Amino acid sequence: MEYLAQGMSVMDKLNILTDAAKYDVACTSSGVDRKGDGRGMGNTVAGGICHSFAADGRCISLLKILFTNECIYNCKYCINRVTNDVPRASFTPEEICELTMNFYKRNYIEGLFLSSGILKNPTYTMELIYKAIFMLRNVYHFQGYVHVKAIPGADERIIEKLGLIVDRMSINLELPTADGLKEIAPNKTRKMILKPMRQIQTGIVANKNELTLYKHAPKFVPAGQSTQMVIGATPENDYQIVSVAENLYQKFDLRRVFYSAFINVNRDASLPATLEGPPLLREHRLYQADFLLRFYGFRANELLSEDKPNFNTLFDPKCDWALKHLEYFPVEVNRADKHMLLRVPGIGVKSAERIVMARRHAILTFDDLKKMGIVLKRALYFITCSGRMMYRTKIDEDYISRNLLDVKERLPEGISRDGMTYKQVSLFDDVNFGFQNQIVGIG
Amino acid sequence: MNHKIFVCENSIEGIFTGVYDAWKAAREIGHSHCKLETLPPDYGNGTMKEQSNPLQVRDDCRNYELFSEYIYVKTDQDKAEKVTKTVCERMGYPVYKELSKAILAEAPDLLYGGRDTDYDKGDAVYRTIVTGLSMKSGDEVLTNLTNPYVARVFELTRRVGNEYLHWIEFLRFHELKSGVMFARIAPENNLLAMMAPHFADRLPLENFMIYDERRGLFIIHGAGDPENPVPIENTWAIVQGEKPDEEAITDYSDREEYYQELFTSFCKTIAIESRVNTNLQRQMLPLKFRKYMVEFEQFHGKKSMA
Repeated sequence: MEYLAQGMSVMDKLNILTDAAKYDVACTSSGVDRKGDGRGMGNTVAGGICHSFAADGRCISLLKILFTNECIYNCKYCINRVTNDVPRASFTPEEICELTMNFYKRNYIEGLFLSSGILKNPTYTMELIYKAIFMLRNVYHFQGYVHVKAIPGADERIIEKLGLIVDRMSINLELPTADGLKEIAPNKTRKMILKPMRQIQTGIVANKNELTLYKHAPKFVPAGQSTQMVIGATPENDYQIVSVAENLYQKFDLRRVFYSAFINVNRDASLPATLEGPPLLREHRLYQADFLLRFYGFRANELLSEDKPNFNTLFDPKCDWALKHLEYFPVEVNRADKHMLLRVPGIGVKSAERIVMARRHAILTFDDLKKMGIVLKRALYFITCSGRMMYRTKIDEDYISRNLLDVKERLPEGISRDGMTYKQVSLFDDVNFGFQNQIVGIG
Repeated sequence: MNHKIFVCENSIEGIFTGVYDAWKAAREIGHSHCKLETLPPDYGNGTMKEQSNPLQVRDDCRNYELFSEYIYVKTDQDKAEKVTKTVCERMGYPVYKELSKAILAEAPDLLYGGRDTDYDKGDAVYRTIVTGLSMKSGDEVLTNLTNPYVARVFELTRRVGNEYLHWIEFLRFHELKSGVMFARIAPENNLLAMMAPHFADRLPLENFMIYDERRGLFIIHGAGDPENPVPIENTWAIVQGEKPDEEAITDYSDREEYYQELFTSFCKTIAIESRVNTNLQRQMLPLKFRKYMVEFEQFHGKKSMA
């Protein structure tokens, strides 16, 4: 390692360690509002700020790098696993600080996202990360956003210390189930991952109590913790994945769960091939469901069940739910509670808020809704204004489904159902690895 | 009875003065006979030929209404102040802030020599204030979205807010030889006054300038003393009518290009090849911003897509 690091320019290191970090999805800078104190550089904005967008359409918000891509582990899906012959590099704390400060000053980034391969052992690696962040905060006086990965298996004390100088910490769940993890990441166990997650959760709660007593007590992980899991490397179905996410939100108070469509970077024979590209539509559906869990009051078992464990490729999860529960519709816009409004396809959180606000002053008509910027092309089948539907429509599953298909769901650019990445065995079953591998084999 | 149409200047003070005058006139003829109109944004900022009669300027852009009297409103700090005070007291500071934000809106077509379609913004603000003051709890006025004027204010603020977010994301500073951080922007709406506090808060120890090249306006921020921080309101000012020296603003510091290259390289590397999706990228980051952003080829004068 030493001889490699020598003579390597910062540019080389940045390329290697960015390349090694790019598969990590969590790049948000949200969750905490903090003004600068006039003594350093930086502040944070609760909504988060994206400063650029890469060619894959993902936002660039933080300087996302690894401290080092040296690693003693051998996780099958990871590009940095010990058995891979890839160029290795490590930053010094000074280099990380200089890059962060100079990028931030030019408004390129919102802050730093620092992860790392495992050098020697988890605790040692975390000590190195701590040293870099401590320098950034106390020598360079950086007050912007800092997100670090906590490494499972590291000493509790170092996580405690680090939590007081960063905004967000995350521990990757890696795979949705413990079995999948055992199979693919032999050096990690589910227990090892959940332990620090629990520690951070209790830390945040304890810190909140402390803050009510002492207003200026240092804040512990003020932007909360997040996690991510790889989708499509192991045969879990959507129902299992969404249930896991729900559990994490309820039992661990996570702020976000990120889903990352699996890409077989190592061409590992024991993992599914992704020659047709990563399963992007599936990832998209999971994010949609995730938002339903967090902001729309849905529960996982309302969206999916053991009998119907995967998302519909044709309709988004909310639409799908509404079509199966027509007994709740139509909803009267002027009277329905917000909870019910949120369940109408086409009405989002902002629209529902606007409706609830505006109807205190007047009875709303369809015209009013349009003027308020509420998109009716899907909602019109599910709502009434003063007892009337917008057009003569039927509350009938087939009829509405047909009409909704005409409207066409607006998927993000580049995700289509036809050129779809995954395969289409039947309309309602999106996970079938064996079959996919066969097709890949033939074609 | 004839209408009275108050033609005011395109600024927060200008429109608030108009509100004051219209209000006064309305005591005799009623609010329904008063109306506010806004002069084109270019009037009075030095880029337009000075004309002695502001109503003449209006002439060039718009038709007259029959049987109406047009009255030019000269901006008056005292009158504007009084309206501000009333709005803040009776409807609260958040409403005042939203109204000011709506006033910063400027028609996007203006950029390309089109018509000023936002001349009604003053009227929307005026009528929203009238509605607000007639309500028991004026602070709720902006929730009354079925009122067409409130709806208009809402539309304008949303447009301004969205563009503001884009520019604070995509703006890029360049370090000049003198150590000053310099950025240029060309927003549709008049955003500088909104942007200044954001950057003054995050870069308190830097000397920086943001140049709105469409309006010829600058923010100038002076570096503070870390030992002795002052409130951020006192660290910046808006300067009008100066043009930057083209040579001076491209005379980068020694390290500037080095960091530009590092960041460009970072942006290239961070993209995942198997997920490349330039359409999505363009949807999230429209092309018009790219000539201001170092990581794109357009910044370096190339036409091709990044």
